[in-house]
Amino acid sequence: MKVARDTWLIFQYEAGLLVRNPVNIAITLLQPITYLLLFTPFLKSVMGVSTYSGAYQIYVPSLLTAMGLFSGLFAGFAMLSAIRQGVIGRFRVTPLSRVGLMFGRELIFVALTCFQGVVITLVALVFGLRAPVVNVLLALVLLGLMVLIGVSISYVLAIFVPTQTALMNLTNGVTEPLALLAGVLIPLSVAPLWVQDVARWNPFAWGSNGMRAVFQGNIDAQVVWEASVILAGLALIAVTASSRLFTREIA
Amino acid sequence: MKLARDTWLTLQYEVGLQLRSPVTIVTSLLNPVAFLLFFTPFLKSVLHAPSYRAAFQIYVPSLLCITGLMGGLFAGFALLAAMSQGVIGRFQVTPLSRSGLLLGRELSFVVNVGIQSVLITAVALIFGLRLQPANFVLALIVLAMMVLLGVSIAYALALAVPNESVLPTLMNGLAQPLSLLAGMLIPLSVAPVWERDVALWNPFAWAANGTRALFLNHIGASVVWEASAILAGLALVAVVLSARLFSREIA
Repeated sequence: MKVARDTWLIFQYEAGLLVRNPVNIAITLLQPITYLLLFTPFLKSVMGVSTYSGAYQIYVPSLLTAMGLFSGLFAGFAMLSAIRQGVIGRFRVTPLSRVGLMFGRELIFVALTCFQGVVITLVALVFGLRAPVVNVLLALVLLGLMVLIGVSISYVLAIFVPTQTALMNLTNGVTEPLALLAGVLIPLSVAPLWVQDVARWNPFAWGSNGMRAVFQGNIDAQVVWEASVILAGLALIAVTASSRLFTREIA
Repeated sequence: MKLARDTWLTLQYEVGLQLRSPVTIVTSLLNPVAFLLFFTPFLKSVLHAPSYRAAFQIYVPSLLCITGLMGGLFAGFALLAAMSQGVIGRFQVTPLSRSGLLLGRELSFVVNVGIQSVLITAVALIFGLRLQPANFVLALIVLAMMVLLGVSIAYALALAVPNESVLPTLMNGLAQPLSLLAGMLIPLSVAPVWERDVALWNPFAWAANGTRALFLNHIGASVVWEASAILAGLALVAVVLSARLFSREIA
């Protein structure tokens, strides 16, 4: 109960900071919208889909995966600068639970990415995407789980590698392969077999395949519940492990 | 004569600084190599390339162009940093010609992208790319003109908008559409007609198509000399304009 309340307090505080700076949120949407409008036509050609609705059903989940992956895995930098600037230190002297402090800071990234996901989906709707509302909501849940995994990994890395440059190189080196091997540009379904085999071990590939099935209206496809189970399990493990580490090392 | 000597002096100084931190060169290769290894297989499938050799012939020139485009367009930040750290100011009190100072700095980016391109191509050679050395040299020349164009645009923008928080948004908002509409992920040849029409006005698309023709050994193709002429003309205009702006605004 206390953890839930503390998480909510931290979440509110961080959300307040975000809302005060709407220009930043708009700027982070610039790149995904560019890709949405200018990359989808290429994908439509090479995937041989006849309508833009079909092309967006393939590409919007990929784009959401990429956004989730990047905003999650780069969250460690915010943590690092919060530690540096003494924000974390000042919260430590309050009676706030350590787990709540950590979890609130993780959930804010989930909320932000899901909000961006909604905006991207709405833009895609304007340009021809058609998908049932329930399916989009389920896709957003999968996206949220992916962000939780990413943020937890990133926080753990930030705690172990507290140098800005080293963390940047490590994160960059990990994120691009993970994204490409999740089929965030061209879907895995058309990739060579060896790529598909490697991608089985990439939870974000499950997320992107699961979301794509949902966007295409196959909500009861096997990959949807498989992806949900895998992501939920991994998110639980990652959040638990990262908050234990955080409690021990930082707070 | 004095201009050439001053350019050479500045170039030596800047390249010397780059070579003294080889780690930066290696980390700048992380992303391109990730794309080389993990995006080419996807492209091979959707473009129905018969072999990895053919897929690399299509994709490596795109990768070199996007490396050059990003390396060039983001050069403005280095100029802003040099200005705020007083590097430019200290050169101003020397008898160095202003145009030489600018040109030397611009050429150092050409050298930087050239080194990265050689290394990326070397990695691709290991994985199956084959091409004529003469064609590669020509492709590097086209690339060099493209980088000069990009750096000049970036310098002009950095001088016009000397604001470190607005410039990244502006550059991203410019670089992403330019690279997508140059077919730097999936070649323009398979894009819808409207995108190809728009791309006719994008000099970076000419660079991507021209270097691709060279990698495919079509050295006599009309796109090769068209791209060379367009880029040479635009690079010349851009360099002259940026040098004039630089002399007036800074030095």
